[in-house]
Amino acid sequence: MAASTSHEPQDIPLPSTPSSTTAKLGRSRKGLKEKGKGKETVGGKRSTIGNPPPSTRSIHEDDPPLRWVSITDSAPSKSPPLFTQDGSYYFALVGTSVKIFATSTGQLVSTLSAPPSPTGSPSEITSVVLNPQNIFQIITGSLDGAIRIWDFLDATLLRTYEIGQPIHHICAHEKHQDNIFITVSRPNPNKQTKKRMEDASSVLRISLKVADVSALPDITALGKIRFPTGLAVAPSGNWLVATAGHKAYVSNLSNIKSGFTKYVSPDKINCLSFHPMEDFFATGDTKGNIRLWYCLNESSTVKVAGLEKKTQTTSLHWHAHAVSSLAFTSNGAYLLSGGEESVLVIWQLHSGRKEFVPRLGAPIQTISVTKTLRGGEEYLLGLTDATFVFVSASTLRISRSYARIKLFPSNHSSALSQSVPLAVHPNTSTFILPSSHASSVQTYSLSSSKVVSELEISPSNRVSRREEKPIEPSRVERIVISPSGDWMASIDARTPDEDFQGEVYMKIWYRDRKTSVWVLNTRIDKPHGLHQVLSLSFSPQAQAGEESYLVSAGGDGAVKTWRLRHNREKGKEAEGFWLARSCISFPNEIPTHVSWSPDGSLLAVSLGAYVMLYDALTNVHRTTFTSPECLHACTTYFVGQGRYLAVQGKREVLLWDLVSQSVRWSFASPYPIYNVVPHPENVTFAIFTSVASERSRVYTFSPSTSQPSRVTYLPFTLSNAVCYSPKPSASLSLAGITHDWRFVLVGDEVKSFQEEGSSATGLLLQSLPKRRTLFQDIFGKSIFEHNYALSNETSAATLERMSGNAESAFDVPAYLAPPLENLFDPLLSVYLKQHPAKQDPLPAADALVEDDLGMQVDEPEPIVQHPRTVRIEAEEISSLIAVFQKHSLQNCTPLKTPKMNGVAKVNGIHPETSKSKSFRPEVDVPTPLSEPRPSPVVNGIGKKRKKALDFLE
Amino acid sequence: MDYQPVIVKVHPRPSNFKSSPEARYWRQFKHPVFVKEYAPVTAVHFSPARPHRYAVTAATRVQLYAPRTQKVTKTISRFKDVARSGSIRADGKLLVAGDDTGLIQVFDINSRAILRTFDSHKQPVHVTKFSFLAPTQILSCSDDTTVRIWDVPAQSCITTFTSHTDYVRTGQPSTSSPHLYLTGSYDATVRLFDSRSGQCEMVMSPAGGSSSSSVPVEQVLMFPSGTVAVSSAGPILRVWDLVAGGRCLRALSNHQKTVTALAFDSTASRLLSGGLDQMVKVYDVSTYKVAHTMRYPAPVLCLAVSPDETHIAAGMTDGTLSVRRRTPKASEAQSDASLAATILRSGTFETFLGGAMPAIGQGTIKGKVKAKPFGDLNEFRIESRRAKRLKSYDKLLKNFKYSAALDSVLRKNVPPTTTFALIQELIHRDGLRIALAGRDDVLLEPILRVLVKYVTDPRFGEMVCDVAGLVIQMYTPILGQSPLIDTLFLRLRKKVQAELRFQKEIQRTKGALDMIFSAVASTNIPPR
Repeated sequence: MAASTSHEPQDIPLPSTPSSTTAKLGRSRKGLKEKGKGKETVGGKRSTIGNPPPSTRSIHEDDPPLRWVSITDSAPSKSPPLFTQDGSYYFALVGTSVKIFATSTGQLVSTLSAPPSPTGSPSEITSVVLNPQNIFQIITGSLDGAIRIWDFLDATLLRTYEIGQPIHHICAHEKHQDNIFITVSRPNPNKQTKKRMEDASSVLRISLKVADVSALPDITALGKIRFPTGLAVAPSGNWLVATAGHKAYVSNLSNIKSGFTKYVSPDKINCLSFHPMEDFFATGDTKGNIRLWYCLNESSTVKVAGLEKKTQTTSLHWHAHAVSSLAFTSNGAYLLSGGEESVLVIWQLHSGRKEFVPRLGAPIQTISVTKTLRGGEEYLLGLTDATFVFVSASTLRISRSYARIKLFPSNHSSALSQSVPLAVHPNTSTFILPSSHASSVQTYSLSSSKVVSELEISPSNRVSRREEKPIEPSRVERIVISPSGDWMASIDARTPDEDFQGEVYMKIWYRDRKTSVWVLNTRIDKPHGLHQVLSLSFSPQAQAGEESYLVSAGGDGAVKTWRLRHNREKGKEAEGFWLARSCISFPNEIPTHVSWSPDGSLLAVSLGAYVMLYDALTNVHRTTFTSPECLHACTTYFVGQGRYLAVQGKREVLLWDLVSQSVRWSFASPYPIYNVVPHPENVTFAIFTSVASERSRVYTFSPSTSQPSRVTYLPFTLSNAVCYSPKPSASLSLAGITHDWRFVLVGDEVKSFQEEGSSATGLLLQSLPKRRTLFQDIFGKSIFEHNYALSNETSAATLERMSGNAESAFDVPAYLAPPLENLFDPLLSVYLKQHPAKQDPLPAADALVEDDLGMQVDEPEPIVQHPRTVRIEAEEISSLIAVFQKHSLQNCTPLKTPKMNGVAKVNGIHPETSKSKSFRPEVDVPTPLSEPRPSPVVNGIGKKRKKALDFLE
Repeated sequence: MDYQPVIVKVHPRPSNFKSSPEARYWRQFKHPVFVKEYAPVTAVHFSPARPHRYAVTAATRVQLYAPRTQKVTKTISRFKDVARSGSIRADGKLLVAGDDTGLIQVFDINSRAILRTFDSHKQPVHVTKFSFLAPTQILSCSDDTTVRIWDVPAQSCITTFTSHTDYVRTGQPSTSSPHLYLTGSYDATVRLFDSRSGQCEMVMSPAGGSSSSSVPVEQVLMFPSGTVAVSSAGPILRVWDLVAGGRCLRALSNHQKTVTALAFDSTASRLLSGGLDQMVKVYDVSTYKVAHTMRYPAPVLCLAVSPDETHIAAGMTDGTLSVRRRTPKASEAQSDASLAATILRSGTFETFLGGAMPAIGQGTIKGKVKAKPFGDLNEFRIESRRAKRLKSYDKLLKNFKYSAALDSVLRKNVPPTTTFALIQELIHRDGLRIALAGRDDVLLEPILRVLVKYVTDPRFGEMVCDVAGLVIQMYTPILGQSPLIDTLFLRLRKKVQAELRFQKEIQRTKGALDMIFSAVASTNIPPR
């Protein structure tokens, strides 16, 4: 049911297109998605291939780029998610795009991405509201000053207004259908006072009525404010309130010329929310106070407009830190507030009593309220780690929470040690990444592109800070997984502060194969005293079934090996736990890195200027390598099936031959080397050098020559990288975390990676799991709503089981047989011979329609896709065009034809002459509540007219 | 996300030896085989080479037994008088024995032919042994008070030691040096001879030289390291430090009657002693405590443990030879001896600590907290959930009543692990300062008492130091106002000072040990 090209909006003759960019957008954006590359990514947009245009390259860097894909989203927006009218979807702003999620499943349904502005990259979308004229449209504002109107059902961009100033907030009201109100940053009049004027902003009214052809909208300035923190229209539609700095600016919308009345709050106002029925509003400030303002009455504002005033307020105080978001429940009896404490506070307004939903996991950033299908209410909390949490209003418990990959620099930036945990689990091909909280990690599955689970390495109560100083959490520093995939070792450490010394724990986790959950097996306190653990690795598996050793190198100058021991007691299962096996200590140097030879028999320890080789089994020192070319060996890796040893210095790489015990070659890099990654299967290895903070050059070497076999570049530097190979290949496939906290996949094999719903898709195409209606409960599922795609899959399986012999399906007892709805189609198709030529998509449905014509039952209208052979006279067409122009072109609603056929049937206008139609009862399609419907009139006519035109040709 | 209760750490505990795997191990030596001889069995010696046949000396013959079948494979009976001390060379090819006429004979085990005879002793020879490091030399100790070193190829006496004044009934060549010999005599002395000087280099006598109360030395045994020796005189065992010039380290009296036999197990980590009281006792050499006791039907005269630790043979006065056997585990059997030796030399923790490996950290933590699986939404899973009841301090902590939570764990009956787990949690929450603040002397007292009590405990010492530092920092202004608090602070200081002295001593010892270890390690580096 994909839209054919003839449905493109520009094919329809239009009186005028308001913006020149709009018309071609559908096609150009589509082209982008198909190619999936040719776009430089800024700010971590999902699934774009880094293949920058040649203009961005500097002159002396003529390296070819290495392919890479970023998987992380950018940070969540401070703007609360917006719900559709019926609450079945919500819009969340993520960087430069609007993501549409289904409320019931939390699944990403569609993504509306802003097109790149003429200056280059698309800029961040800051606000979204429903179009007051049409609830199936949203209006977004972005920092590049563009107001965009989208049809989210069709996922098309309808119109763009260029304001030219960064937009921060948008609000709209039904009473002011033609207008929206926005806050923008004002441009600087003079350059000298740039710093002071940065927060100068103004409130504008934009008229959306496009009576004339001019592309520029009608802008009315309402007044100047400081940097805005909130903008809202009173429920009565009479008042507009903006908050900025210490003040609340109130404007009477019936008399907008009078300007703002300013009310002063003792603290900086952080957020704003209007009561849903009455004319008062609530503000939350940076000190944690919530104020209710009752100042919206005619008498007080008319007289002294433009002056700063004080007024009576009610103050509610519980929060210790800034209130980040406020929301009233829809009946207006309760006020919800949240902030850094990660506690949702529910204030009963008439009594001032509070209720709490504590321990949400992360600071609350946004709060929004929606109605559930059963008539209850739910609170949607957006947390700072991009998790969306639904709290049921009736139970005040978390009903569900949806998390996507969480990787944000803010929670990790204060760490002294810049080691980032990253590991690949080989059996399930999942990645273990740092999570939003420093003491936990998340498991990300590449195949399903979902976060599978989250694991708290050091469980803690996430209490909020007491003073200005943030509480230092325990940080996960290293994660390694054994080659068998059964064991995971982690290092978590708490950095010492002035009063207390730190803590270091090594924890070894066992993977429960049934539930695939990591269970803590052994905890080792202070494996290297209070010093940092600098390196940790499992030995390669020598033999199947034999568990590998773990080696750790610490700041206390010791290299320790650990092994699994089994404790057998009578009548009990054998318990395995990890114990120290041996310790090699170096009094003068600190071992920075330890690596295993591929067969697990040798340990290479890098210490200062030396690299020492130890027999892993007996701990006997074998040999020492030292060379004047490399005075500081940072890391050492075995390459080439263990014959060579690649020693990485600060700016040089040496290759030792273990057989001849001599340097085979050395390579000096012009830039600092920060990582060496050997290929797991063949002899090559890659060296990462940082050209600048945002750019790294990658050399690929083979042991035979010091000439790099390949030089490529990446537009970022990696803080940690691990090898993963989706399939055995000659080139290196890496997963890494960049220094600006993006999770990227690097390598030639990296495919253009598409998560479901990451492109713009029409909502109607999605088959949302529908709720069963009462009708269905009584009479069973309607055959017309039967999901054929689904049934075909299941029936195929059923058919396979039946293995050609149809009668055998009834051999089993009835309670063991598959449901009849699954059985019917395959069974019939066994008996009936399929017509070879014609593939009718809905054979059963069609046949039934024809049979049922005589019966006037309450059946929903079938969804029929056949073009009917209908003669349509020319005068009908002209009358239709007249109707179309009269109704639809006045208010500029979407011009795109709907893709869903027959749903929006308009009776009465339709010039239907078919015989079968005349018999049909006038029954509306029973539409489940959960599914939003397009506006019927416009779309219906557009559709039919289009069809008629086709027939004329 | 639920409230996380305070996790009380479990600290490692040194394993106790009472119910130990030790006893279980020794009890594995089951099914004793009793072989009847004509006369008291005076010596049993296992061949160091496989298949570890053993020579049993009784009356006028030496018999070789096969360890599998416990049957006699060879009998050497070419003695004119009672044979003594049949012992096999390290390669398992030669056997030496003395007899009561003073004759020493060297036999080829296979052909039982006499290869060499040494006939210089005038009195019965009770000890004949091959040197471990110089396989061509033989030590013999005789009742004529002399100790001789013989060269086998030349069939001549190299050295004669004449320092003893009474029967020399026991002796042993050193395992660490080819020149040193340890002997024990009925003159109540243990002497260390050096063949280079040909003189007695060290005299160890239990009574400090006063011969009146002296008891004859029955047995001597030297540790493989050559630094410590064990001797038995009467029912008393003595441990001598040879490095410290023959200082007596320990005296053990666990037997009721004279100890007549001493033996090590294969790794010299256990010492076995057999006595006339019909008992064999097993000592742990790290503590010299009895780990196990075995009972025999008659007074034990000689004792030997096979090198693969599968047989314990004991000869008794009534002419019975008892052989206890153990079937080794499959894993043990296949372990290569040479590899084991290298591992031993490599110095892993396991070889040092043997079976009594203390758990470092916390092994096998039962996962209370599971990771949250996001899972399939359609999958409806009912988890059995037990309502966990929070402890009183957890309840207070949940309500952010830090001070009250701290008070609740400072009571008498609360174990210190709980107390310090809560303090740790307060540190994590940045709340210890609040919990400690605003206390008068009555409320401060329990804190200080806990600090004084546990400042030297290795489990909590570091945390006590942190907390004490904070307390001192916070309460310095009120010093001198309450005599109770002042005395507690003084006690804390005193205890810290004592601990510091102790730690310095430990550091010194550790330094000395490091020197010894590195010396040993440097000698073990294989030559290029």
